Amino acid sequence: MNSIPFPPLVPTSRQYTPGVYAEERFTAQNGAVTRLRYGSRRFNSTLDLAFSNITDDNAALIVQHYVDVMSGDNNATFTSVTDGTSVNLAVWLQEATAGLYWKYTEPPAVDSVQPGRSTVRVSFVGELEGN
Amino acid sequence: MTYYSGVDGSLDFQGLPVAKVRDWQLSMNTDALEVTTLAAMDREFTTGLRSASGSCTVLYYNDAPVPLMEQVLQQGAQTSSIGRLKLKYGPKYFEFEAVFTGAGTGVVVGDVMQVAVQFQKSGPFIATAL
Repeated sequence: MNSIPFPPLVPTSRQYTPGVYAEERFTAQNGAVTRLRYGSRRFNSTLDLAFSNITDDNAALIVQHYVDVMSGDNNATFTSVTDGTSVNLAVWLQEATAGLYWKYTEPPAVDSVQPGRSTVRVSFVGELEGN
Repeated sequence: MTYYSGVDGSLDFQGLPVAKVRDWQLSMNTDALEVTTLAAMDREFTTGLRSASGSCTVLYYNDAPVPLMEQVLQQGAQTSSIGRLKLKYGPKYFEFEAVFTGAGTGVVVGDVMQVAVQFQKSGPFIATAL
């Protein structure tokens, strides 16, 4: 698997969720809950980014990155995407220590704002690799 | 150094001068397109779409404002939904195509009947001399 760095762009908005743990939950009629845990590692973290009113050339970089990542067994890595946040939070957003790999959830959505300017929204999911 | 005043003003519609124009106004704007990113502490902008709108008032003298009113109502002698305006002051001018969005008139005791017309520029300026 190759890691392909996301273009050096700072987003306009960013939303992160740290994912879930593999478990099944059973609720008895009296309300008591039993959980069956199938793993100790979280997965399916999400990262949604928006880049408002960026140049069309930068929008093209994002589209190219999507093609580069998803056309093969690759994953995305981030640096500038975490600009404006603390180092501690950036570690979570980059999923650098969790063993999760960022993949695109869906193709980038490119809204053309005016000649030369576009707004791009991208969504990533942090996957555990099943080797 | 030259000042311009009402005596220098005039208005052409579809290439023909409009008689008895009392005033015209034009407001020009450019949108501010926000490009602030998460790492910034100050909002940043770039230029967005341009627009212009305005109005004029024409005294109701020998049907002078009728072509403008017909343009608003989209009836009568007008042949296009877009009209060409040339707002002039001395040797200078703004020339552009416009959609005519409104016209208002009334009759008041002791006052001359007049028609106020509003318009919205469509497309870029055809020509300007500022």
